Amino acid sequence: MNKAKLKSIIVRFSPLITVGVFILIWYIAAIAVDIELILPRPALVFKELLALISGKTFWTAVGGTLSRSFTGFAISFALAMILAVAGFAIKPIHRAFSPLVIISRAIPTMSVILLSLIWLTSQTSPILISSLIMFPMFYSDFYSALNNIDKGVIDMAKLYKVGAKDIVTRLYIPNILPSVLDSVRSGISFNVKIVIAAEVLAQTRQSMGISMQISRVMLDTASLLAWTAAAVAISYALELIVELIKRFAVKWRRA
Amino acid sequence: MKKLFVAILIVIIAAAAVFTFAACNNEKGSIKIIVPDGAPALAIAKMLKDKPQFDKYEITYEIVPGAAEISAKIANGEADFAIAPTNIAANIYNKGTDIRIISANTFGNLYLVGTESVSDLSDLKGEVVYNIGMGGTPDLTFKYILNQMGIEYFASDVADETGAKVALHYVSSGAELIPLLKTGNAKFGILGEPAVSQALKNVSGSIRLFAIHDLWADVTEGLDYTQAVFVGRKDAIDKYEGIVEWLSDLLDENVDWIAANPAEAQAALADAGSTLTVALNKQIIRACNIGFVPAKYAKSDINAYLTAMASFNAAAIGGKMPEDTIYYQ
Repeated sequence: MNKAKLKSIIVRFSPLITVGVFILIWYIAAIAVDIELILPRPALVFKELLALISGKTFWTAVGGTLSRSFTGFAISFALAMILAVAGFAIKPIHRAFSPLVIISRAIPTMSVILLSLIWLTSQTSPILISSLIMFPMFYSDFYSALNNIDKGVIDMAKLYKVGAKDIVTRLYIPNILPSVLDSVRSGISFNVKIVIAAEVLAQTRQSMGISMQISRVMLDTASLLAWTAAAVAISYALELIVELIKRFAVKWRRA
Repeated sequence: MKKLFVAILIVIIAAAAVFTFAACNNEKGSIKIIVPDGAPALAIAKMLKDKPQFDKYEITYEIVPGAAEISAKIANGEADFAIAPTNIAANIYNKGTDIRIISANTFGNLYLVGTESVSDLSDLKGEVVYNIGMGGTPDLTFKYILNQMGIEYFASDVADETGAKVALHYVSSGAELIPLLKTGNAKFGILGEPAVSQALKNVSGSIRLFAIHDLWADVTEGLDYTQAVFVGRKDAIDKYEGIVEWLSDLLDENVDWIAANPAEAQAALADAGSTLTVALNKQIIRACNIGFVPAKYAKSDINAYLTAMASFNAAAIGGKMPEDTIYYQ
């Protein structure tokens, strides 16, 4: 095997090597601490994870958390898109909405969570929390994506009397799509994290958050880490799906 | 090759760091006694104030935020003695830390509060009862009582329209339940003292309906509701001869002292960093139900309590019933 080939193999598998090193450090640390309650060994956590996956409650919890994540995500995405387009088309709207965006960006996550617990039910407050936190991020991303489109190209299209429908479908959408998908990709796993945090505090039934909380209350650290691993895997899978959509969309744009 | 060397070096450094971190937990020059914040801290209020010292050893007394810190510090040896929720004590023991239960110290500070009067638990069918912490001991206890009384229940935030079942709904702490009772969104809720007194003061028309420990006694033929115990690490008990008897006397003495001196007890807790803000009076202290029963006399009550918790989920007590060696003789 030549050197270049070896190098390419190492590069290709470098993420796996990192995961391996991480698990190795974890294993060494667990042996050093030697207290299951504080840091269980990786094998125990994987065993716990397998036991979780084979149970029915795991899937209802994951389903519940995902449906709340998607609802919150959809609300914030739609709201941000509508307002960003409106603000881009009519500048005074952008100015008028700017305080709202600033407030929703500056408001501490914890106070949103605590307030919504008083106002809403345990099933709905994670949704409100996720949409309130995701909205300002999406809004600024979308708005700047729209503003980054080359004005000259649009002016030219107008000059050549290209129809409004074509300007939208062939200029605006293809131009903002990559950055919109980028922010969706980073937002989608962040959103799952927020929903889980909210579920812990809201004591949401059938959720990953409450399952983690119950593991914690019962000092079942292995199960808490197993749930954590599951959450990481789910977030990664979601990001991967968005990445695939992005690749597909880029191809479509070129075609 | 150079890169591989660097990678191996990083692993070695990380491992070394972890080892030293783990090692420094085991060194200690003094005895440490910890207690979770809130009502259980009352069990050592006088000791927090007087800071009594045992023989030539230095003893530190500390309030920690909750059960998670208790278990971590007892397990890694940072603390030697602690007041711990009974199921947590069993849990620590079952997960391989050799501890002894020295005494039972709190006998139930949970109460069912309502903005409407009911005479019997079965009147709660068709109602929503709020509880603190899904899967926690207040939840498991209440379900156990309902089971024993033959009252059906289900988890939901809306009441059963047919009126056949009790709906159980959860909040994470008493602080969230009080506003719900106040706005009328919740009619019934289980709270721990001193949050109960706070609720009764702030929510007009609210009443203390049942003491959970009374309901417990009803369904267990008069057993005590042994909510929290005093535990010690076996190595510390062996190392400091006579300390258990010495601490037991102090814990026993404390029971009468807090009953007679609520204001001093409160000041002692506040000085030790407690976040308890409710003004304690004799009535609230009595409702917190602090007592002292040596393990050998409380054994059957504790066993019944642990069996009940494990009947829902063995993980609540760490997988199995602890052996009798857990009780200090």
